[in-house]
Amino acid sequence: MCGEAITLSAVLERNLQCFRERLCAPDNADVLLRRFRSGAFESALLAIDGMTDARRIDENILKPCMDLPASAGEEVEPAQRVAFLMAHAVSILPMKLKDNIDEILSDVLSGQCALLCEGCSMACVMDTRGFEKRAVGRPETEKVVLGPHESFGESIRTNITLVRRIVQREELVTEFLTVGGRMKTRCALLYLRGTADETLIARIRRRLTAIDYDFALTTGEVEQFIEEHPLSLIPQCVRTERPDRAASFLAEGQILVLTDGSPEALGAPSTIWHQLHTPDDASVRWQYGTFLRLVRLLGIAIHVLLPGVYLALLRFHQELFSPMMLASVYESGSRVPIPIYLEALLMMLAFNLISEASLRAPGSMGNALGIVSGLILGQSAVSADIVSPLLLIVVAVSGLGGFCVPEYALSIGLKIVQLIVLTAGALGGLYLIALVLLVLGCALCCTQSVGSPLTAPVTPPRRANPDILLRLPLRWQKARAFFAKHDS
Amino acid sequence: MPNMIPETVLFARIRAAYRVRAVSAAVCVGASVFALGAGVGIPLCLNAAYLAALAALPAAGLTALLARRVLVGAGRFARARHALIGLTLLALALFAFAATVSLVHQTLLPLARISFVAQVSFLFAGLCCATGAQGAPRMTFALRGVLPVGLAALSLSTLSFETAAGLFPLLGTGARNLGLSALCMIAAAAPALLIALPPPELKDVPQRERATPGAWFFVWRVMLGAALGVGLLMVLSLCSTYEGLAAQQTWGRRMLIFCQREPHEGLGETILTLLQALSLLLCAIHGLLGAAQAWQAVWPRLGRGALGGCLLVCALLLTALVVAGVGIARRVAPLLGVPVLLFGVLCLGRRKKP
Repeated sequence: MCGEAITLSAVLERNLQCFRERLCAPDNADVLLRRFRSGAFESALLAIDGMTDARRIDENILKPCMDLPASAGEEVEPAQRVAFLMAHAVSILPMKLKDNIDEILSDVLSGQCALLCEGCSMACVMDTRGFEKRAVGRPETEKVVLGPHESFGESIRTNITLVRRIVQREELVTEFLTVGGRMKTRCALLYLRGTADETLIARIRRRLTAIDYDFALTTGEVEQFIEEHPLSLIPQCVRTERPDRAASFLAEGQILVLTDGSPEALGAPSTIWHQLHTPDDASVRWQYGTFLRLVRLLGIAIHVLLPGVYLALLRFHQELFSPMMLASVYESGSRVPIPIYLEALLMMLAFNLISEASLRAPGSMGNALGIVSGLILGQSAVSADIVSPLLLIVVAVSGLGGFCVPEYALSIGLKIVQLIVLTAGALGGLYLIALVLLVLGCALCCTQSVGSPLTAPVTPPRRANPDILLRLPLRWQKARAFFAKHDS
Repeated sequence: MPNMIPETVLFARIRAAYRVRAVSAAVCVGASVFALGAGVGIPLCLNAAYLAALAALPAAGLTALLARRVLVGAGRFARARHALIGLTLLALALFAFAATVSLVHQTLLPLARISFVAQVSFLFAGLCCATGAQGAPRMTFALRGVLPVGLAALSLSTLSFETAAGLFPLLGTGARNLGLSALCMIAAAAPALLIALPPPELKDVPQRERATPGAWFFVWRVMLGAALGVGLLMVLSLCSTYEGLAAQQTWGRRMLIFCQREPHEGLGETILTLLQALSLLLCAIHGLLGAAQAWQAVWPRLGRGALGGCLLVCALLLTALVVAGVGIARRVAPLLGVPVLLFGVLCLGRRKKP
């Protein structure tokens, strides 16, 4: 009976029965259904235990309603009873009148509460969210030396407030969307009206609302539905856990996607250059920022190329080594029983294994694990002639370079590229490495982020902010990003 | 309501697309000047090959000028012209593949089999084409600074005062051979035909005609590319003595700018050769993509099949070349000048009023 109902009826008991059925009450102990007398008529409140602020409900909804004199609302039309309570008793600021059962249930499940009255086919949905949440903490993956040390939390409301505290502009718009199939997730779309391109906003909105995946719960999952090239190794949106960086994205004309329960914001459209920048680039003088960026780029180049180039030189271009060095390399390599490619592959696998294990191991154990694996295992492997010392140095330096990648998702992509380059170097020397890089470069140049080229403004050329590879003086960075609204 | 792109921004984007196209053509012209100079110029007039290659500059400039003329509007013989461009660019791609394979096999991978080098080069070029029509041109545009600066810097670093003797005698093996070599260099202007094809990203862009840059926009870039090719040939002459070049029998070895003093100091040389190979390969990729676009213009129903067809034809011909010897490509490459001249004749025909 209830399964077919789409809107509320005027009979309170019928509505409550419907909600009981849908929420599996009374088996479901979390469902709070409270019937009470509010003046001349009967009302009911529906909420989920633990998701709401009980004190606010008591003081701002239940108490004022129950304190109404017995004659209050006698003369009010039954259909207007909820509106009467909203006007004379309830003192909660965000509230809406709704009659769609699905919408009401969705709101209740997100921590809001619904007030229903006898004879009225409307419910008042009030924002009484009050679940426990983590306090604003320090960033874990985007640590900086200089600059703010604040990061997003799991509450979408808090995250929006953190952004709004930095971007105190009337143009900042927050749109709430409910995405996903069965398990809905609340997302917020933040943008600066007049700066962000409306076409891009509409495109992202369309892609978000089109998500029919049952459990699109985190920012990472939402990102995968926004992106255009699922086969690409490079992420097409930029993620940040820092409100200050998110605010800078907004100022550039990007659109932020916040997901309830995820302590990070998604910036789209983005470019590959965004993923190479760190938040403290802008906090220091341009000379320091440029130097740090160059060091970072060098680190990334070493990370991706060094093992492959080492193998290529050793197998195909021995003439590039000095005779002494070549003798030393062959002398140390001759004691190792496995081919050099397999040796390098195993070493890199071991490095990734240690890195992953250190990441998952709890707290201080992670550090100990890193030291034990890195020092003791490495030393033992060299002593046992399982690996050559030069290759150990190459893999270690290459791994060190990998920590220079500011974006975690990008660093995983680059690890895969590193393996491809290694294989290319072993099979075809420097020429094959060049070919692999050419193909990857061409693929990267074709990749788009929400319709904007990922490699722009370098290629294709676009007139935009010169903050690309070098961190130029701030006074030269007056232009917005190329994807911002053209007349902004 | 979605905002409309302002006209100025649209024009800037159209211009940017043409910039990418012009740079691609310039890189290809430079690569083909060098490959043709090493393949045809050096056997004919040895150290004076760079002088003969100077003929490619006006040829490339003129071809770019004519190509720009037919870029907008169908004009007469549009299909014939597109078919001619398609054939020429396909032949250019094959020539560039042959040059790449020859260079790589004789320098970077001397122990590998030539068929392996050819297969790998073709496979990766095909992958570059398969990523999309915009990938390779954009990549070339991104490399527009690194590639010429790297080539110029590394090749200049090989020079010394002792090598200046390589410039003489100015006429090489004689005026007749020099003239013949200069005539052959007209073929190096073939990549400039790319300019006659609109950039793929502007397929559905309105007002494309109004925003198309003038001829000089293309001409100076293409001539600069040709000048870089001539410069590389000059460095080649400076690095090798008259007798040394005469002794070089194979095409790939002739393209090697020899700069190492000691065996282990060859890093610069290896990188230089890599950059040369990369330029030649980019020329081949652009040739394939351009040919596919031209054939698509001839038969619009071909769609993506045009690229597949071009790749197939190129693969078959490259296999034949590898079996018969890549030197054949070097010998027939000057014939690329014929369609370039024919294109000029077709373009000089009266244009249709729009």
